[in-house]
Amino acid sequence: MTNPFKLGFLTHVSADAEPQITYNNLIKLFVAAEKFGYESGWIAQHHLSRGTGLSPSPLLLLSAIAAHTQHIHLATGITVLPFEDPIRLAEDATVLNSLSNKRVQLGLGSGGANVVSFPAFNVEYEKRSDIFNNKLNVLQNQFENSSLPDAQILRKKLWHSHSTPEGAVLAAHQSNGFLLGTAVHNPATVQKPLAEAYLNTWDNKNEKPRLGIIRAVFPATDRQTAQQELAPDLKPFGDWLKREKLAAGEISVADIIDKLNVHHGSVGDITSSLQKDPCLFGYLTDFIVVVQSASSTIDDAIKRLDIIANEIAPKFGWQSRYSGQ
Amino acid sequence: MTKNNGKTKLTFGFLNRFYTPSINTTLSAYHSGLSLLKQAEQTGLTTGWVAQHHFHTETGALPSPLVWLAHAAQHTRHIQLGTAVIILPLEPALRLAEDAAVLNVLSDGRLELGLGKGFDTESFDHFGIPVENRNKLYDDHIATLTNALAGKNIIDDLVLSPPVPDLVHKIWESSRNSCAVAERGNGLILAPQPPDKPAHSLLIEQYLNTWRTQKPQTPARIAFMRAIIPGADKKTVEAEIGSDILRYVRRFIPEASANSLQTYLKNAGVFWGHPEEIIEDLSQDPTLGSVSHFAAQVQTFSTSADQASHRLRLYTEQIVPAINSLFGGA
Repeated sequence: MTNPFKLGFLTHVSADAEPQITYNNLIKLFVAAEKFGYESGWIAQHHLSRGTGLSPSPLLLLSAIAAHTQHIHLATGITVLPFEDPIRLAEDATVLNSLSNKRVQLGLGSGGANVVSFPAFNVEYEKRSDIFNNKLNVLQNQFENSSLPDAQILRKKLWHSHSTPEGAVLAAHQSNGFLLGTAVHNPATVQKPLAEAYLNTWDNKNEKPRLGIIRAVFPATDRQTAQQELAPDLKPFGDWLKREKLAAGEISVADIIDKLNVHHGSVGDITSSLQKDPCLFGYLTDFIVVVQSASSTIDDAIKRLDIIANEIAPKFGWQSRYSGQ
Repeated sequence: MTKNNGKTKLTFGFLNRFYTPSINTTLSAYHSGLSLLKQAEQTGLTTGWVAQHHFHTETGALPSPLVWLAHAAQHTRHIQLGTAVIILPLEPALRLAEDAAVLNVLSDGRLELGLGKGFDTESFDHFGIPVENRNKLYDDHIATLTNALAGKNIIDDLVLSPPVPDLVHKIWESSRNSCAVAERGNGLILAPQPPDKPAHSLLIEQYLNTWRTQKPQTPARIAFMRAIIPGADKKTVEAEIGSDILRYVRRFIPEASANSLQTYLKNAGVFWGHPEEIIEDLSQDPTLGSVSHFAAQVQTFSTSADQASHRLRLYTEQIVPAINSLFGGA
């Protein structure tokens, strides 16, 4: 029996403790996710102190994780390509791919959410799209022209995160995967048209499109409890939404949760809200969940991954490779 | 200038350049490198160093030492994890600082960050960076790297995350400008160099003179890195490594002949033969009294994993104790 989609999770490696404890917990999270049958774990990249994440180097974290896991795919979600030397990135990804028995997936973005970091890396924010395109080209050539099989195969493991139809079209033209939901975009009015642009543009007969859709999923006893648990962590997002002109005036926790596309509550609540999500199971090949907010503990996160893999994803036809064993 | 007063005890390490004659054996080199590192840890060596080679130049199979070390850190607990060296002009400096910071945390503070300017024209060509620019790029990059690792503002109030306040004291440089290395408070790596360049004793003297005026209270860090190829006797080892050495030398001297093998070995700074012969040769080296760390490379291009493990054992069981009793200051 083949699954209708692959199940993955994404983490921002938020600093919940000393960095070393945070990294140890990250390894634990991947080990637990693999045990639950998750097919991929995605690590976001956050540069310098302004971000919430302790993860400027996802490939190094994934290299440590590779030593503790066997099957789960090790993915970046995403690497800010304009800050990278694409040749060095290709080398790093290839070495990790060798060390991990070919489990690397490389998500790439142009860094639109990292505006404050651009001057630190001597990159012009306004030119980030062109820089992305140029570096993507170099990166792809590195993989295509390599004589190492572990490098060649990475050409088919690239994903883009874009928020424009041009970006969706680019990903499809390059035969790359496409990631949606990395930023706060309305599923109906923004994400759905992007998914359609990507799928409609895809014309590679030899390969299938790869569409990963990311959603925050917070299982709890009920919606009320989930909202109470999330409230302290979501407050800062209220100000951010206003700054980004995605909200105005008084904004409630429920509004913030809604704007951030957070599926929350009981298994029944979440199942029904996922069913209503206008840009999800009709489109995706990879369902990627985010289960941590800033104050989540490692035990919270593992429990949520457990519930999603064992109680929620099966409602949509997904089964863990380990189920029934 | 023999034993200086600020001298700490001599520590020992092992350097792996991940030589693979064919790129098809890259993966086995990564795996046997892990076994050798574990062996080095179990036999009490202080540091495992790894080299960086881009595009398989000099048949070196590891372009990403920090990625490999992040993996290796999970398989070891105590041994320090060093780079010897990262070719700094070819690295985006701030990204390198980030990677080094993450690895230092992942490894419980075990990173030793060795840097060099690079010399291999082929590598620079691949990156589209003129090799003539390497000095300027090196200076720019080490300034950016050091500033970031020290936790200083990179731009506005942005600083490196995760913070790694101790890492700035664990930078090493392989450089002929040893005064500048001392001025920056970094360790000096003494790798073999051509006979026409300034002698190591001179580099050490300049380094220590500068170091003592800068940091009289802190012990200087000088690492001596050499190919140490122990075996049954000199003739046997020459037979084992002769073709590798000639292959290496012919990059610079195309007409190199097997008749001059011993000269090439000496010029390349190789110590070879029975462990007793190596100890005798090392005891004549005038620089060893000044070094704080001694690291051996036991592999040449075609060394098998078993051979490397055997040589590493001869090194740790026989050569290390002898060198320590001859030169270990503390």
